[in-house]
Amino acid sequence: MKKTKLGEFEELVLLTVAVLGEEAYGVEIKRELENRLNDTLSVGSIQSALKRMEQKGFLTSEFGEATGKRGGKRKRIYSATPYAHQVLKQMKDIRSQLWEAIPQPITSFQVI
Amino acid sequence: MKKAAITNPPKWPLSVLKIFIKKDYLEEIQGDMQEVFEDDLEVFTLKKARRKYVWETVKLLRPVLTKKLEGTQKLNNYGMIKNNLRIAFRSLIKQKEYSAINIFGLTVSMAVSMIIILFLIDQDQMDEHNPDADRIYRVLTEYDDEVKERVVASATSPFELRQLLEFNVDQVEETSQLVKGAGNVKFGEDVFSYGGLYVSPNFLKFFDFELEKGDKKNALQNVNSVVLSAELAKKLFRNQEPIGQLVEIDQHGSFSVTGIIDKTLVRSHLDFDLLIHEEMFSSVSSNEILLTNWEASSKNFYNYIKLKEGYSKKPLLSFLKTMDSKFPEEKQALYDFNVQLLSDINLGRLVGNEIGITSPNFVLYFFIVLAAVLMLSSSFNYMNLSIARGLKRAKEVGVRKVIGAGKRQIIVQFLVEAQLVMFCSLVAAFLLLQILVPIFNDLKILRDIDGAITMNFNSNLSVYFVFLSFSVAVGLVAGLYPAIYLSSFKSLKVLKGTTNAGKSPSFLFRKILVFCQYAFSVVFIITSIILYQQANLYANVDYGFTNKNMINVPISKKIPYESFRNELLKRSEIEGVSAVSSLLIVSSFEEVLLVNKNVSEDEVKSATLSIDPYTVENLDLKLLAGRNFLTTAVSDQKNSFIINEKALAALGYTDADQALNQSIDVIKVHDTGRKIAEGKIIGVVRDFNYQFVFLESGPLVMNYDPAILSSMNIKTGEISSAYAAEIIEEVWKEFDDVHPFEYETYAYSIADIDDEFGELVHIIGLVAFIAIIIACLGQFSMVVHHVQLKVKEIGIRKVLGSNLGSLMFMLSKDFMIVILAAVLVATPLAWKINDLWTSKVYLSPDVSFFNMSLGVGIILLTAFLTIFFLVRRAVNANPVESLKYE
Repeated sequence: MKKTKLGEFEELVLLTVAVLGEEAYGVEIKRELENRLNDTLSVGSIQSALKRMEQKGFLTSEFGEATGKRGGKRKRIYSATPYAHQVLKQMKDIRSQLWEAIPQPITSFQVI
Repeated sequence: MKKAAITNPPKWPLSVLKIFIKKDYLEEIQGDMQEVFEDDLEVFTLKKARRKYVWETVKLLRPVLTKKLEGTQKLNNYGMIKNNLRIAFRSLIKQKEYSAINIFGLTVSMAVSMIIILFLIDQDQMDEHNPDADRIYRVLTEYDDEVKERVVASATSPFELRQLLEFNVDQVEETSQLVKGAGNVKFGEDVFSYGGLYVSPNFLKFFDFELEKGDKKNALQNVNSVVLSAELAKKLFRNQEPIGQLVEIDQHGSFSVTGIIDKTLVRSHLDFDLLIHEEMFSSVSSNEILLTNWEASSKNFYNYIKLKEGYSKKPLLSFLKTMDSKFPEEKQALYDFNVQLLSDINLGRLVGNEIGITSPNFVLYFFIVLAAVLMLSSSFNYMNLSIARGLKRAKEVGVRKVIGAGKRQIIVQFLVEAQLVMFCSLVAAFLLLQILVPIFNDLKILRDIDGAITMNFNSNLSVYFVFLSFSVAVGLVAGLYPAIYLSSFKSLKVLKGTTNAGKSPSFLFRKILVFCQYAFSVVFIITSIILYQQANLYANVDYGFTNKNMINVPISKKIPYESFRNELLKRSEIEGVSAVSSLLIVSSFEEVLLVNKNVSEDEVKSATLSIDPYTVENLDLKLLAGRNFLTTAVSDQKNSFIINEKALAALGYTDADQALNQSIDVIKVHDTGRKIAEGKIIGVVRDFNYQFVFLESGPLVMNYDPAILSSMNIKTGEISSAYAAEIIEEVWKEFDDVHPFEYETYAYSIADIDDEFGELVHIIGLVAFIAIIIACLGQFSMVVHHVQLKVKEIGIRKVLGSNLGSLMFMLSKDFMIVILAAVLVATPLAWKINDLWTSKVYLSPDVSFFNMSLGVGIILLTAFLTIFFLVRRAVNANPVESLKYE
């Protein structure tokens, strides 16, 4: 956790990769995220996040089959590594612990 | 299918990606981009989708995705250049004297060249501020002068031409017309003279002049408005607000000031103190002929034509071709029109009747040749020294080649070395420039042509660029040959130690370089000797009249001549006062034609001058025959003439007494006709110089017309000119207490013209000096090198019994031959060049054998001394020392 940091946007992309499973390639990830975030994203931002995480060891990738679509270019399918799952889990735990640590606001008035 | 064809994304972004994106990622990203584009097409128009595609491409250029710099070609070269620079530095420092000689020579000649570049850039900027400078033309009138046997061009053209062009040539967008005017402008009690222009109302917009104060659009719309130069406004109004003030202008009445132009802010060929509406010109010049007679008119009006954007000057020229017909029948063949681009006016063709002061193009060529010769000379030094030194570095080249360096890499290495030397010189020259520019700007010649360099480098960064590319270019020129030569060493031979300097073809090449340097020096030194003599001649010339202890004061309304003269003569210090219409030497003279009807109808050209009866005595003119004008005889004021000897001869008389009381016609030729004055010759004076010594003082006819006397010559006793001026000022104050007393001593006025010539001599002399120094330095280093190569030979010869003389001869023979050859070739060349200009100048020194041999002598002496001392040192060395070392 300390050694390799995972940025907020990277975390979102990583989670999307995990969600999409076999379908996790560049544009599909972009579509999924755009839907969920209700915002437009550039190919560049997605791609750079993917490459960075691949370098950090969160992702592995391999080429898919070439089809008539995409101008005959192959897709690169990404999948999250076990290490990534572990880190994601850790982050979720830390977050939920923190959420629980927030003092509860007073929900009702007491009559003295 | 058709649809598919046009729904492709643009192609070029893909090639951009290919260049920048990492190879591994390319296929995937290209596919993604294609898919995104197809998605976009469903939502947006094709145009927008394409636009988005381009934008997405741009956003793909992120560090993570793009190629890294490492491992590319660039980085390898960087290491190599670093190494080259280090080697260059080392060899620079290792051979300090060679480097110093090189850098010194290059620095000096670079500094001079930089000044010239700056000057030319500055001159070239003239009128460039005008955004339309490339489509504004000035109409020139070309006249085939039969007397001078050449076509002379005038900046002026006829008045009517403007309207004809405006109506008949469709490509003309706008025209503007100017006429020069001069007079006095008055505000309150202050009167100043001005040189101004009558202009079209569109003047300010047309020539793109910004007003410092006032409204550019309306400043010249009204016939009674005037635009002043900031300089004149300051004189007139001092600290008062100028706009809206009323000034009186001679002949024209009163004007209100509507604008102030700061002329120092823009550089234009137009020179003026004030601008007034063109209507004013016709109001004073009732002379219809000046407007409608094309011959007269073509000498007075300046027509500027702005063409519509994108049109060539061809239609304009072909229309002008038809305009010859407006001239009188018999002269049509002589006249022609041409045009000149606004931006070409300065440093362009030499034309007469120029509106302000401009430098014609031969100034440009002269300076370029000057810079080129100096630069070449010092580049030759560099070549020479590099080749000489290269023999020492032959081993280095050999080792590099053995290790695996290609020829190209060695060439690059030596070029880098050349560039480093050039850069060092450039920096040094730039520092030198800071000292030189103020000195240069102080030159009188420059002040007269408004040529001072404005050293504002920061506002004009391109100057740095020009300098840098200049030094790179010089580096290439100077460095290329040595680099190619040195890189051609065969490594095997070099390492065996068999390269022989003396026999290689480079030695011939180096001899040619030294030859050129000495040839340049010979030409320069002979030219400067002759110029120096010319300057001396001017300084010591006998003008034929007295100008010692003489003070010149202008005559004006407030300073009436007769009464002022009488007041002055009451002072004991004043020895004499006289008056002339034009100051001798300093002013120019009107030309008239003389006819002696007794002999023939031939017209003789002559200068004319009005003097008063006191002039002959006061200026010490020698009367050869006849009498002076009489103060009392009114008839003397119109019909009597005194002529000089040259006029006497020109009129056909051999003896002065013969001409006395003979009648002659003096004809003044105007644009509009001739005015003939008939009169008698009453006296003949000895010839004296009235023109500056450049020009011949030819025939002169003098009359006595009190109305046109304009300047007083006041002769004082042996007192200082300042004291004399004080005395005159006291008298002046009695007459005019408004204007400050202005005076000039006669000697000073003459020296003023002399000075400009003297400066020219100094400049050329300085360049000659630099050229000789550079040549000597080159010679010096070549001899040093030559002697070093032959140290052993000298030792052996000495041991075997050679004497000093034969050794000297053996060592210096080669150099002597080169230098003598240079002298032999360059001397006739120098003679020709100098003969060319001296033959055009009146009163010039002879391009004599003595002058030539003096120049040649100086060159030979310096060269021989250099060789002698160096060779003697080598010859006197103990042979044991040189032979022992192995």
